[in-house]
Amino acid sequence: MSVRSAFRHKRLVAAASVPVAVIASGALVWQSTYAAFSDTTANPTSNWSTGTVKLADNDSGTALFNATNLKPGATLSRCITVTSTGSVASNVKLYGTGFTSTKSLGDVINLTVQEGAGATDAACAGFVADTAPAATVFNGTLSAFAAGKTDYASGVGTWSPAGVTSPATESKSYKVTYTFASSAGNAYQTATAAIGLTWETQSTS
Amino acid sequence: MSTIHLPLQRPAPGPASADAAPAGDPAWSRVMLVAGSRAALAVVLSLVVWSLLPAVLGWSPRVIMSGSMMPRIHVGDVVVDRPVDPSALTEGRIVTVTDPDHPEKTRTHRFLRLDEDGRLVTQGDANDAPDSTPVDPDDVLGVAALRVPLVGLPVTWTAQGQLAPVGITVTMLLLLALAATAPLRFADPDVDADADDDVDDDAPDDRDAGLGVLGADAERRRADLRARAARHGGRVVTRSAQVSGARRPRLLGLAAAGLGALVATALTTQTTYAALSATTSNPANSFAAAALFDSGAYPDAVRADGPLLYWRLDELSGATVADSATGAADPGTLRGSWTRGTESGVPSEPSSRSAVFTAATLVEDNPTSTQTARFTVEAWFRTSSGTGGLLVGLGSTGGAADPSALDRVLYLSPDGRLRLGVDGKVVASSRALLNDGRWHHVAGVLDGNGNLDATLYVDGQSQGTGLKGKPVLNNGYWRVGGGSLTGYANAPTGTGALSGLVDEVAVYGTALAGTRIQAHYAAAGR
Repeated sequence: MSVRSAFRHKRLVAAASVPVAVIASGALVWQSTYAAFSDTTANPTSNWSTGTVKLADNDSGTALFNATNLKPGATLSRCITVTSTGSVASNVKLYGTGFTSTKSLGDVINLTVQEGAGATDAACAGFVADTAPAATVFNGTLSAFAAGKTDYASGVGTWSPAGVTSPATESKSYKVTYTFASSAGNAYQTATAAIGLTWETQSTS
Repeated sequence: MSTIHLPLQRPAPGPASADAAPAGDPAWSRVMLVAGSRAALAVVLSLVVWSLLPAVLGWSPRVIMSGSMMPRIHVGDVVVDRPVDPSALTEGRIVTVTDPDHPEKTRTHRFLRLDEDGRLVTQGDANDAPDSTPVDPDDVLGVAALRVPLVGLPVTWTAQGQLAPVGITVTMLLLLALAATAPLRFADPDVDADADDDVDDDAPDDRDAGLGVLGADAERRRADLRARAARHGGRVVTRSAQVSGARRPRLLGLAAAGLGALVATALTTQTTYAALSATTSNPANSFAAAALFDSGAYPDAVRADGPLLYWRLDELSGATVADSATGAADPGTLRGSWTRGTESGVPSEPSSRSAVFTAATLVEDNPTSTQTARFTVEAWFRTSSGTGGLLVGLGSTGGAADPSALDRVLYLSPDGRLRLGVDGKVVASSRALLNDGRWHHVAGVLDGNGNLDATLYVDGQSQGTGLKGKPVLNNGYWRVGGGSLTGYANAPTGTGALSGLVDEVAVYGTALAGTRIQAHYAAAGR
């Protein structure tokens, strides 16, 4: 390489660096955009480190309540423990889904939901209610719960998992109590109601 | 292109790092460093411009703050949203919407489909399920049109309080900027006097300043350059004079430019979230009220015989008395002076309640049955009254007014005996005095054809063969506790108000057999 050609090459490199970089950035944006938006279906792959949120419960697919032949004054508490294995901070809310009722039975069933810890089975063995924040996150009629707590935004609950690294987990026990109003009249005979309980977690950032 | 000048360009003996470059011509390492820095800085700046410039068109750059669109969109990417008519959206596009779950935030997720209400169902690619709350079309802020990778990272770091990477990035950018603005002065061998033929014309004409940040050997180089400067007619003197004055403005200028870029970024760039979400459910909890709230041995026995009307008087308060007969169509209303919720008259139903009649009537609101000639009236009562009163009867009228006629009556005479009467005539009487302050189960039955046979039962025992009689009132209002019994023998005077407790009043359109009456009494467990 002659001195002159080295000189020219240097000038060329110096002069071209900025335009080349600008073009490269444009290509990068185009490529990024194309990759992100050209797929019309979600196609998640599993190899990234941003984090996850994941919830499970210990109900084994069995409804907490399958109450039949209810008479006024009947009451029962059942517990479910929800476990979070997500790696990022999130908030968990409880809301109702799929509410149905006949003869407005939901109006005379009172529902309370308490947060706590330690319930090892649906019969609430070992359940210890939270003290701060207060354990009771809902106390009202089943109808009010079904109508007012319908999604994440309106759901109840104060639990905020901080995020853990597997195999660690975080969990919260929920004690759900129904009470069939003792003042319920005979008009509610044979009435029925059903509701699903859904816990949803969403990452906080 | 003259070779004559070449000897003049021979490199002077220089530092070890210098390669074989002509004198006055920067070394390759320096060229590469400066050019590389410029290129890197240009990429960064171009990406920033790419992410900010669309704001001029009214598009909205947003920094992605969370990772639910991974791996398509990463945390720290800037997504530029183009305003869009929600009805023109196609499924599969990535949209930014007002987060229905956190109204103060926005959410950037993929649009899956419209639900039956015309709302948008969205989902983060990294989430297992669609977002739980569909989005109103009015809440669509834009459709993602550009993705600029990574440039929003300082924003996400700041939001997460991670100041260390922010500081590192700022420092690196500053170093890059200093390196990139270092002058590359090419002494063109062709044009001797061409001191301005330099891609870096805008930079301060000072090579020392650039070197100052490039290494510890800066001083050596500077000394070397001064030594070399003899060949350049002492220009170094001028330059040296610029050194102290030029370096500081360049740093200040870079800092000012950086600050300006930051402010511009902060003003134009918003943040948006791609929230990770997950759910767990406890589905299909069911509640079913009993077919009969007040089932029990006694009421079950009563209902087994199909009463037309069954007033259990179990309510704890209020004037309304429910009909507990199957079909439940004949409630009644209490008027006058009464107390509810007192002791059960039926031992088998301890949670049942009775009502205290002081001077009260309980009258059927809207009769639904026409009475038949054969019938049974049944009740429990407890009294110590010495004036007697109407226990149960069918009045010709309802409401608060005293009916002009009463038929099918069970009443307590002032002498303490209970009497069964039809059509103004007593057809059966109890043997014992029943105003003894104890609960008694009584039932009056009219059975047979034509002129019917009457039987009165007290505590399950027949009081013997009664007289024959025939009711005349078939459409009326059943009443309890009071009514003028004018015309009946041994009747209480006045309005016939019974002072006592009454429970479990039942009326049947059939004549119950003695065995059924006894079964009722046995079921009560008294």
